[in-house]
Amino acid sequence: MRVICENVGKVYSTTRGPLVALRGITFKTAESEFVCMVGPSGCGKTTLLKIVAGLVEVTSGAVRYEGHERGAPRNAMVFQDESIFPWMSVLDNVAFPLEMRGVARRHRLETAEEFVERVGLRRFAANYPHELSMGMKQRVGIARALACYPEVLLMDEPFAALDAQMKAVLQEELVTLWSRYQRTVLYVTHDIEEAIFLGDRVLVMSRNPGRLIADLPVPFPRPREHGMRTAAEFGELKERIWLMIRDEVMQVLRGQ
Amino acid sequence: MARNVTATRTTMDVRGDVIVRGATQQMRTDRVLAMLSPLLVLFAWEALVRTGRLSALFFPPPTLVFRTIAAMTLTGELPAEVWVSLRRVLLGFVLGAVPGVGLGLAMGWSRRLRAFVEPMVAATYPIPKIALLPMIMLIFGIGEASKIVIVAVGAFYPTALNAIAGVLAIRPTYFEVARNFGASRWKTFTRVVLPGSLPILFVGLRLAFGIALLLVVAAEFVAAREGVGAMIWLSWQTLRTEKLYAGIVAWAALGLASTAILQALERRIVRWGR
Repeated sequence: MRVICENVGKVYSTTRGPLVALRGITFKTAESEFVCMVGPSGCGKTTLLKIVAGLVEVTSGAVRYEGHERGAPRNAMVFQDESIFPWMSVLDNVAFPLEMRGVARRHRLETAEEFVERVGLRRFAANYPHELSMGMKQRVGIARALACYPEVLLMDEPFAALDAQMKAVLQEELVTLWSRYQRTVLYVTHDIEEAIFLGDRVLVMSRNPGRLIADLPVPFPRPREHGMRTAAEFGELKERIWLMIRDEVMQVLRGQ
Repeated sequence: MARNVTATRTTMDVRGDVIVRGATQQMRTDRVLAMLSPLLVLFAWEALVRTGRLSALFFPPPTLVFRTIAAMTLTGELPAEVWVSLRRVLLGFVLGAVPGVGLGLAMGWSRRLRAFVEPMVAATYPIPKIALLPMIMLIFGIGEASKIVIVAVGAFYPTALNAIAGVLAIRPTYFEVARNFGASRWKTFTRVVLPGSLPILFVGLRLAFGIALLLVVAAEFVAAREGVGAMIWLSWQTLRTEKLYAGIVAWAALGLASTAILQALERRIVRWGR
């Protein structure tokens, strides 16, 4: 399925007058494309993702889905902060979306078991979240999002709270999962390197108001390996994006 | 050889066992010390009365109090009084806590309902509930009903307020997750609102039970012929101080037991350690 954002805008009314969070966001994903969005903090990337998820209303423009299969959920979100329910076991957490869709208990637990295994947590299926590490909790969140076979996977900095090693391992796991399920992914991050490593395409956002300032294809073939991060082309692309964002940050610092 | 074995054991002790044993030993010492202070007070009390330095009429010695409790238990007098009070507590608690939980959860969940009802709850909350007893007796008569109702009123507030707080303490993200996966309102209630509010809800239930125990005794002082409160009051009027103390000890024991039961229940239900 393809996600199409047409001139999406979001204005919040605050006590100090209207605050433009997003202005004129227009882009279109290809089928099963992995699209990363990078930008400085406060550029509205989380808001944009929540708009695509249907959790936040737009004030102008529209989000459309093309090629929607009947019956399948349009999207599932992996949240940035801790979002798996502490009062449910790992298995019940992963089965939650299926429960909401009215799937019979036995059937949904079977599916959940499969996805718990996919993210390497079979031994922890009966455990509660407080017994897991941060990395494990995020994997539960990913398994939960995948378990309902969404057409679009929306990911909001899922690995931001993790240390560098854990992050690198989970990024590779995510790409493996993605290449198996072939879903469209919208992935928000502030980490440029992560965006290039994961994405087919990188959308660069700027702040005040949040808007798209670049749409760059990532030329590296798949499967990608961790070692590609040291390649010269990788570094050049990373530098190019960094310069765009750095200009933005400087402008904000100068109060423009 | 024997020496070698001893040496190995010592090393093990130094590495692990000693620390573990040290910790448990310390805990045991703490427990002994904790039990020692009340025992010392009781012992001093007993000694002061027996040597005539303290009036046995005003301060019946602990041994006499415990003998009184044993005797009253054997005759069935004490269990009967405790049961009368406990029945009022339990009925009143259920009558107050059930609507308290229901309204509190609904208020925590619905901003509009909260805006509508909260001022009224906030305005009536500071009223000392025992001050309502004459009014309640006016409406419900001088029988069982008024005692049960005052307990219910007292139990309602802490459960309702903590249920509201419990729902408000749920991370907004959890509601977004429910919406994202298309949860119905009913499913959002049973899978997010209710379990998410449980830890704080239980705080409210425990507070409510404590208030129920307090209110029933206060109500029985002035408006009952049976029950632990009435027994304590009557013992004061007739200067049967050992019975007065027996009543206090029995009711305190019940308070401890109920707290323990509620905590055990909480541990069973709230298994996720938050």
